[in-house]
Amino acid sequence: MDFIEKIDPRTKLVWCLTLILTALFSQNLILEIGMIALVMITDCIFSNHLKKYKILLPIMLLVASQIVVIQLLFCRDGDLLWKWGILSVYTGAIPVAALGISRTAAVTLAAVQFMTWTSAIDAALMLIAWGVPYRYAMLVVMTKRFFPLMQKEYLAISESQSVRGYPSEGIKNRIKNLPLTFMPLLYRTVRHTSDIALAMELKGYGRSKQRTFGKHLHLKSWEMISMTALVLFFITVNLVP
Amino acid sequence: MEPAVQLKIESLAFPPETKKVLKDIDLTINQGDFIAITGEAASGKSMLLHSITGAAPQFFNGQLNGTIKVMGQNIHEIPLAKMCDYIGYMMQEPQNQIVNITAAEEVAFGIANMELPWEEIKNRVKKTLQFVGLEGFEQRNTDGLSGGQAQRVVLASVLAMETPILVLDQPTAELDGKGKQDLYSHIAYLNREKGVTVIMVMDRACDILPYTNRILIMAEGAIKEECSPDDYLERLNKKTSPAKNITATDKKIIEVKDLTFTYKGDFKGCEKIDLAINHGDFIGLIGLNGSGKTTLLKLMEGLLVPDAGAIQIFGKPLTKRNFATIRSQIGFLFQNPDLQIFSNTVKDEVAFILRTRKLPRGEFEEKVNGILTEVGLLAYADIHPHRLSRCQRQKLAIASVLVGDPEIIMADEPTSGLDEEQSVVIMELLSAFQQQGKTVILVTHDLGLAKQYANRIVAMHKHRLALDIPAQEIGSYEKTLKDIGLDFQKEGVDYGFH
Repeated sequence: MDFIEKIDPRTKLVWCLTLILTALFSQNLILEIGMIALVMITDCIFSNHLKKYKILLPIMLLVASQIVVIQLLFCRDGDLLWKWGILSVYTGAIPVAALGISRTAAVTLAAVQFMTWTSAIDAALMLIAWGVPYRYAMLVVMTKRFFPLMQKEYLAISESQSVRGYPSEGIKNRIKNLPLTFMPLLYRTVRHTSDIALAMELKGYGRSKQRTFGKHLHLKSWEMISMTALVLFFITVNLVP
Repeated sequence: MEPAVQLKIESLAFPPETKKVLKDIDLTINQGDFIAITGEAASGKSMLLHSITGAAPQFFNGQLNGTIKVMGQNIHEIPLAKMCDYIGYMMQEPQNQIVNITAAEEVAFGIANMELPWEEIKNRVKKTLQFVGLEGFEQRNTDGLSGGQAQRVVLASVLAMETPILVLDQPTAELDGKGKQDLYSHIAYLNREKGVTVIMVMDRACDILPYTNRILIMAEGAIKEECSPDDYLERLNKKTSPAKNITATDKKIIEVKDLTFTYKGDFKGCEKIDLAINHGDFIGLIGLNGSGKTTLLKLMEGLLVPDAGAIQIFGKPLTKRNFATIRSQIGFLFQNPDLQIFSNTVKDEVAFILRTRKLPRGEFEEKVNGILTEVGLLAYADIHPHRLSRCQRQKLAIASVLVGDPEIIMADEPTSGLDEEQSVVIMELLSAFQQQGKTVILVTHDLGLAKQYANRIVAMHKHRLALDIPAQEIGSYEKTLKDIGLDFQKEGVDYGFH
């Protein structure tokens, strides 16, 4: 992971965009699977854990099943495989569904890889390098800090309801309790936002156009070469007839 | 020498509300002063700090009649973002003020905004974290900090700016006794050696009496009185009341055997806890921050599932199947009442439990009114709970628990953020509950309160049970308590009061 941390976020972004755009433009199933494999292999080599994809797996399976169902119901390419009443399944549905699933997987995995490889402060520095004022660029950092905080608040509120007789175990109960949880969560969120804004301003946030950062982005020559190679790869694979 | 702060406030209000949140204040704070501000909840203490920092009326748009000067400059002439040249301000609720992902980034935040060179920033971050007792915490994720650690990080970020004035709103509310004493002595050092002016709102001013030179007592938006630390201490000592006489039965109500719990990421919560609580006990569960008190409470409530060991409540093992039934006989009070208030009126909030039990409205109306009368909130029955003061919200939380006729109340630091008098109000409510033959388990950092109200003191240290003794014998265990960081003598002022 040390190596990944040292890479400029712009290089990581070009890598991610190359994977995503190739996956979107390509009509070749093998290339799509290749994109997925690239994400997995690079993750294995550089960050040495694939645990983060475990959370994605059920969501991706759900999406995949939807794609399969839609293709089986509506695809009319190829030969008729099976017919029951108004339902007709054609052979063309299978490769189209496979292409759709692998494309969705490649795009999702590449995006997740970028997000896990790029720290919030690096993302903010990247925006600053593009001329975004630091007051707005730093919102990336704040967002990353805010979500786990709200998650903690939500759990605390659920716990307090649970001890007063409202069952909060399981997804069904949690969904049922949402209206009750929402109000205190909203109240706390508004308070957080106000407190955080005041605390930031009183610590000099926005007092001048610049602020000191401990890290400065600097594209190394090998990163420039890599980015050029990635762009050329994309053009060759997708745009050259 | 120019005064650090000069306030001449006729009134401060937030239209369309006509109520004056501050009024008739004529106060001069000299450079090098160490001022403690105390007073009942909603008396205007925090608003006074907001006005000194310029937050009110600049951030919270209000109507100010009067003038406020900081180091000779009218606050209207100082933009809020430049106030950090004069004032370092730490508000309540530290987690609400943390912006960054790591502790080092958070401490560096203010000084980085001041555009200091990075080398200087790095030095200050290291020095300040060391100063607040968080050496080596630089890369710690702020999300995973405990309440006490978060409070120290926020304080460090304020101290790192090296401002001539420090304005602190209950800076030690989440710390244990030892943590409080360490922090007070650090701030006192800055005041004494570096001449930093300190203005501090305290829930319990008695904690910092040895370091202050002026005490301001606020009521209804005005400074009711100013006195010396000696006068204040004398007044507090007059209010000392004797310890409660409690006799518990021999009948076990909770039995915990070999209880172990580890949080995700291999953080220890509790380790091999054996504890038996009798019917009618008032347990004072004490220990340093992170010693496992809250974890034990949550395990006994069924909010956490133990890795090993067993819990028996009312003679039955606590399992997933029966914890809903068992919970209906246990009232749980969280440290922050705001987390357990979710109805639109005070009355509805109290009626919540009865409604979940599907009782007809006619039946529970009388009960709700009775409980509200008992806790002194009947007059507020129809207003929104968040319009109540912190003490009143804590009373409301107790009322909403009492209405369910529990056999046991588990209270997690119910007096945090409350002053001495309000703490006594809350403790008296719990004591009255216990006097009915019920059981109370109180997690607290306040040894004085534990000693006065509990019949048993249970101390935890490093996730294990370190001591389980009758409260009246606590004096004989001074050394043991000191060994686990609960220094009786060091907190002498506190115990003088209680």
